[in-house]
Amino acid sequence: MKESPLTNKGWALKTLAGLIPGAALSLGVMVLLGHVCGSTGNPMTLSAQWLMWLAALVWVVCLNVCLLFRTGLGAWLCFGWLACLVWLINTLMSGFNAAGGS
Amino acid sequence: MKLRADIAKLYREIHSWVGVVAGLFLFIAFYAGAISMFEPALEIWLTPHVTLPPAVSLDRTPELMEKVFAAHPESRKAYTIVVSPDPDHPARMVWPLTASHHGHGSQSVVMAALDTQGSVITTQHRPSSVAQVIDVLHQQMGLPLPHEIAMIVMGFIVLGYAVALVSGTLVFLPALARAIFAVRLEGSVRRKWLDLHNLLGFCSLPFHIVMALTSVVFAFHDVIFTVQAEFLSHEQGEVHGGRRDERAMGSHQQTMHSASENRVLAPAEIVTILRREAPGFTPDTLEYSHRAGAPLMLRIAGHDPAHVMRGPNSGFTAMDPYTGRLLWRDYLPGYQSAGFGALTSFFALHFGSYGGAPIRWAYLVLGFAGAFLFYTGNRLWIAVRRRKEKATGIETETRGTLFLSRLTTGCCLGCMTGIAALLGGALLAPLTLGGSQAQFLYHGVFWAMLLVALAAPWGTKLALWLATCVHGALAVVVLYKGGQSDVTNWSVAAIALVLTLWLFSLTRQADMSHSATAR
Repeated sequence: MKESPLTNKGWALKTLAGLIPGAALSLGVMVLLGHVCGSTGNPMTLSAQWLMWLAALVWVVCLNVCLLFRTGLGAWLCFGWLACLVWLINTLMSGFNAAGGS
Repeated sequence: MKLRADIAKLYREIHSWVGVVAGLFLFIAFYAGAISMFEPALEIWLTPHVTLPPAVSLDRTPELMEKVFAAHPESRKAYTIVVSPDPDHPARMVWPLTASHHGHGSQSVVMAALDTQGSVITTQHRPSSVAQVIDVLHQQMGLPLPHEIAMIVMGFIVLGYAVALVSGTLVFLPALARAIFAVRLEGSVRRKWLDLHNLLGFCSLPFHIVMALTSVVFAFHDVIFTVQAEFLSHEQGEVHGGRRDERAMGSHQQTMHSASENRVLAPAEIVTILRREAPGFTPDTLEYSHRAGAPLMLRIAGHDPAHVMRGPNSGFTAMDPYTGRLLWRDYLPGYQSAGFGALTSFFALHFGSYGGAPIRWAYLVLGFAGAFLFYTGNRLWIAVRRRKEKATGIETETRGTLFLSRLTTGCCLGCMTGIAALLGGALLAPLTLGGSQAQFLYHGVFWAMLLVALAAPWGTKLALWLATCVHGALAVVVLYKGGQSDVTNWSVAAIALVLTLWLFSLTRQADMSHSATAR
């Protein structure tokens, strides 16, 4: 079966998906990588500054990709699910860090 | 490279709509940003010179400092030693006139010198705020909002810019390879604007990628760092409060100086140590700050023409003023780690703070070309809409097309004329044009031009004539008030003259097209 062509129908919902769950996802990826590389989040450190640039870049990528979804709901579900997953891992990792540190 | 037809169509639509929404803000950002490349030079040019006795030598600076501290104890809290005073920065020692100063740009200072009898002479130096106002226009894209809110709004516009950039590149890249330098100025209006827009966009693509990503970071870095502090900081409170570099300096120094029994090094000794520790780095200012209960801190700003710099005009380092040990080299040009060096290059690519004057001139051209890119984008959009409307049998323009056409003219001319009025005003009345008055003058001219352009069919033509006259008047004022051997003076006069001639040619074109449609 041939797929119907992509259109900009529902662009507002798609854009909002890039903006809101897209932001949560990019910040989540940043925090996840921060946990992995042991960043302290101090803005003067190299790791924190690179992570900040990374978050901006991921967000820009999300905003460009969100318009390629067939529906706005699809974009929300995909970014939302990924963001939830990343933040769940972050919560677990900070829990482990706290347990390891105490 | 072949893009799927439906994706190409989708991105083309996105590029058009996002471009048209963000284009006018971006015009202001690029036009004002191009001029801000010469912010320090403009500030010096627009500020009346102060007269002071010749600056004491670096070796005699401790004597000056002692006398100033005795006569003006408030200067101890924060003071700056200028390493190489010149006619534009005549004083060896300065300190802020008021404690509160935030953001970029110079602040009002008290300058101190010693007369022939060895007594302290002070004078107040209030730099012209016009160059700084133009910089703020650039940062806030001309949005008349409080700075923090404007920066967030700017961030969202820049996100749109990034989307327009990616979509534009994806859609037009395959065709560009075939027809990049084919600028068809004859023939249809739409094709002329399309070719110009493609050529400009393609040639300045790397510049725009850098601008888009750095601007997203400038808008949202505080929010992103707050998230990092919240979720990554293991030491609570570590990253809250105070200026970042001061925190870095303080954290190094507090461990070393529980008691400040040591002697503070003299500026000449500091310069000698710097020459030994960081050859190639030329210190410009030694900035001391002394908070109650904390040791004296020293931040050194300087430049190295061979390396990229973190700030728009300088790189930085911190030194222990008691031992002369360099505490922090992360922002010191030529002595950064590879990671910090790469980050610094992003900033330098935005600020054009590498390669000296030729790069600044190149950025001026790229900035103007960027502004013109957004103008051509809007013109193209209007031409396409007109063509579509004609194809559907509509004889006159729809209200939307007409509104956008007039808005584009009014907004671009308003920004250009507002800035010209600011520069002219600063030359004619340097002492009366403070920060808020300068803001008021710019926005007054901008909104007046916008209203004129939107008001009636003849509004566009009137706005063009007004812009031509103001730019012509600016050229005359610069030549009349200047006439010195100042490079800035002649550069501004030349640019104002070129813009006057260009605007004049546009008014002629508008006249001709108006008479053609009338026939």
